[in-house]
Amino acid sequence: MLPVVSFSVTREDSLRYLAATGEDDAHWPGLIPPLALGSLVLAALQEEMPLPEGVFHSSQEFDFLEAVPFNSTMDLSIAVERRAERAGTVYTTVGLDLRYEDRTVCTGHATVVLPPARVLAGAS
Amino acid sequence: MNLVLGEPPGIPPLTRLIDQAMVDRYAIAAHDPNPIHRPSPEAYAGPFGRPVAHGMLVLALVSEAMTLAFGLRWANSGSLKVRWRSPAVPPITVTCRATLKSAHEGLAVYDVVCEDPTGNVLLDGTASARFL
Repeated sequence: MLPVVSFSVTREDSLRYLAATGEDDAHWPGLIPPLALGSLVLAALQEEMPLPEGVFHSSQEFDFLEAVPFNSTMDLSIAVERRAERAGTVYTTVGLDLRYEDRTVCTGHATVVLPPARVLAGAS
Repeated sequence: MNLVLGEPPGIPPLTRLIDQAMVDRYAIAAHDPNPIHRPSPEAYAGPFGRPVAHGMLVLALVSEAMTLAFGLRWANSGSLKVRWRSPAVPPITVTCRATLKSAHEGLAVYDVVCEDPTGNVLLDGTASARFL
């Protein structure tokens, strides 16, 4: 388990995310869109666990349990759940648990893959 | 929002063009500056041999489709479980489709897929939310 990371998402963060994805901000007055939260959780994860060059995201799970207002301070716990190597490819699954006011508001599992150098070069 | 009392909502297909400008905006918004997402030596030497869109940017279509169908319930009861199948090379038109898989005790589960215009699957998996 890595140290707990505290972070918050502002209205500007949220609007920037929605503008980038093309989603209408009218659906989320005062609240952080769930996948904006998920994306920024992954950014916090990368700050805590910098990934080597060539890594890509292969699968993702999220459970969104409660909408969170802008500017709320949340605590993110991160744990490496699984690490496996097959034929030179390294698979790592990280568990995420996001808490707000002592309640879990989002959980997730992210799996990233580090391929053997250049094995996938030219893949479509 | 499509919620009808007691019934799981249908989810219309959602299509969006993902171009490099959108990828660049997403990189800033999501604090993900990985050079494999922009024309860079790292992208051309990287696992896909060219710049690719963020997987989470493709996944955003699924979240938006679920938002349109479930509204706030998506944020309070939504689940996603997806796997990326092939890279999205911008510019690319992506369509998200969701097919109702089950509806039991107020929980609707959909098979979801994002694909390019040729039907090539970029990601697939399930998404669910409570409709009761």
